[in-house]
Amino acid sequence: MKIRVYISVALVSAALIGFQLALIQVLSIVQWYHFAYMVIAMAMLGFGAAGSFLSLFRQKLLGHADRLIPLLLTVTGLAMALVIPAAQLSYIRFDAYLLFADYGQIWKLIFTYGLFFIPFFSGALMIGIVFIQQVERIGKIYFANLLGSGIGGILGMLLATWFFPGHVSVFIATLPVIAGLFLLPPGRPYPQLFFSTVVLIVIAFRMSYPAKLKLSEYKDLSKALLLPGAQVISSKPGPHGVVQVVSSPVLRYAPGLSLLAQDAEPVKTATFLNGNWFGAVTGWGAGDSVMILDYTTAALPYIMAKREKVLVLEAGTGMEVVHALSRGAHEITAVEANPVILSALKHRFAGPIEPGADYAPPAFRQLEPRSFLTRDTAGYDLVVLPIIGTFGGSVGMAALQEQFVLTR
Amino acid sequence: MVSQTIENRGVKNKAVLQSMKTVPRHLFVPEKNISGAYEDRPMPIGYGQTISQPFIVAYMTEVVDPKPHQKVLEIGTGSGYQAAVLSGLVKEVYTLEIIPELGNAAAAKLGKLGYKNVAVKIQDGYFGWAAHAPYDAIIVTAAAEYIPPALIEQLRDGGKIVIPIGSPFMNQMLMLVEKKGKKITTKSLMPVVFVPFTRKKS
Repeated sequence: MKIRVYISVALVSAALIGFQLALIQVLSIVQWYHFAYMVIAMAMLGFGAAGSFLSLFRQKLLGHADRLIPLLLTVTGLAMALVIPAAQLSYIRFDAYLLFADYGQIWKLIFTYGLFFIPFFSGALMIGIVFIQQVERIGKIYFANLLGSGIGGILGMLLATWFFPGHVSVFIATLPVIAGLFLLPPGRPYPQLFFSTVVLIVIAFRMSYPAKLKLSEYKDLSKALLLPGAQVISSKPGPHGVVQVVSSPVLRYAPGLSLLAQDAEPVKTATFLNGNWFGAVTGWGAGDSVMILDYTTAALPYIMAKREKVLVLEAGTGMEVVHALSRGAHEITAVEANPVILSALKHRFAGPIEPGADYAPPAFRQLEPRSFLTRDTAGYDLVVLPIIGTFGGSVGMAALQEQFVLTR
Repeated sequence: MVSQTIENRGVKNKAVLQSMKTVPRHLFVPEKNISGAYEDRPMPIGYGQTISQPFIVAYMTEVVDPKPHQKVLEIGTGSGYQAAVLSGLVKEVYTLEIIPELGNAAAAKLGKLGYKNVAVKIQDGYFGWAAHAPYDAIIVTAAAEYIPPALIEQLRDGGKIVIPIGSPFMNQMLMLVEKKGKKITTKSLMPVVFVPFTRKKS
């Protein structure tokens, strides 16, 4: 019995942390990454509310603990499987961008908050009941709680690497249900067994038909897909987020294009990370968009001097790498932390750059720029930093801010 | 709205103010937002677009200094509100919208409300509308990262372009571009926030 309690506590703890990560991913996609903070607040509210509830109804809860614990675990699993699709329903789904215009969005936001709160409350309540009920073993139970939480964090990251967010949350939902099966009430647990079975069927259904995430209409990806001929040509999950590649004949990208430029050819293909613009994908032929960079301030260092050895930090889709190649750089090191993006970059530059060329393909490093800079001892003719902050009036202000990912 | 939030904030052109008073903004916003139609703020109109804040519409209109004999190009019809404001001030308004649903709805609305000198076309605004060039003024109502070369080409000598420049979802800078002979000058006017130019992303 003791070991089953430890396993159950570990499983639900893993689920609660894993579900937080899944929710962060989901909200980053349908809204913006800032809602990561909301997820943490929700989880803490759930735990806090559970503690308060437990203190108010302690005797009653402990009196029915044997039946309550597996029930709470199964409810937690069910909630984890259903709250995300429920939050996507049109009359519940909120759009942060509309908060300024449609005050009804505030109620939708509150309702969504309440929905996401449920699994944290029920899961935390179960843990709290076990803590009190078996206080003589609190050390080991707490260890199971912490161990499970740590595993949940790792599990959430691993699942995000291989599965889309709609699947991740559903997979995690199985953990508390399994935990509930470990702690079935004594006697005839048939109602609980039946409920657990139904929930597992629901989870299996959701696994087969995961929630389709509906992005805010104001997200970059939503707007890109409105362009004529736009289509998603590739979609990959990753620990940094979901990477999607969109093509459209009218996608253009040429930040700060000079007034002397005659034209800005479409890039046609662009990458999005969690629905946000990540970068343009260009070729390096004379008619390709990378030549447009020759009419932006990005060309300035190449005009001032020959740059043989170039370091590109946060290489992204490789536009600056291609630009460096087009300007005659022979040794290029590109640093990119996102493994999905890096894999695409490596694939892109795997073949010969140009027939008869006398330079090597770029060297790629999967590291955060700061980590790379602390280890790298090489010298470069040019270090290309990513565009920091906005282009326009606040670029100067952003340049004054320390960028910790890029500095030592 | 006009006296409290537009005139008080520095828009002085009498013709522009009169046009702002005349155009029924509530007919250009979604029905569920009608109650707030005359508040000085942007409003969503669907498809990731917004109808601009009235002050910005008036300001951008004033900046290009519209005259009754002029021909103006608008990039980003959206709801059609800016085009309606321009309609009463200039001879001809040509407006481009890349999203067919928005463009068609705006065209129908403008036609129904009697704005007969406004022509709406569903097209990528990047290339301007060469068939009716040159234009005395060009108003771009969505943020771009750069000034499309075609718009400069289609601007008459002495003409003006007003365009928000910068990254989307961040502050942009409203820029005035003037063409005098072969010389193109730009001037930063004020920081703004516009939804992105739909034909490109950043």
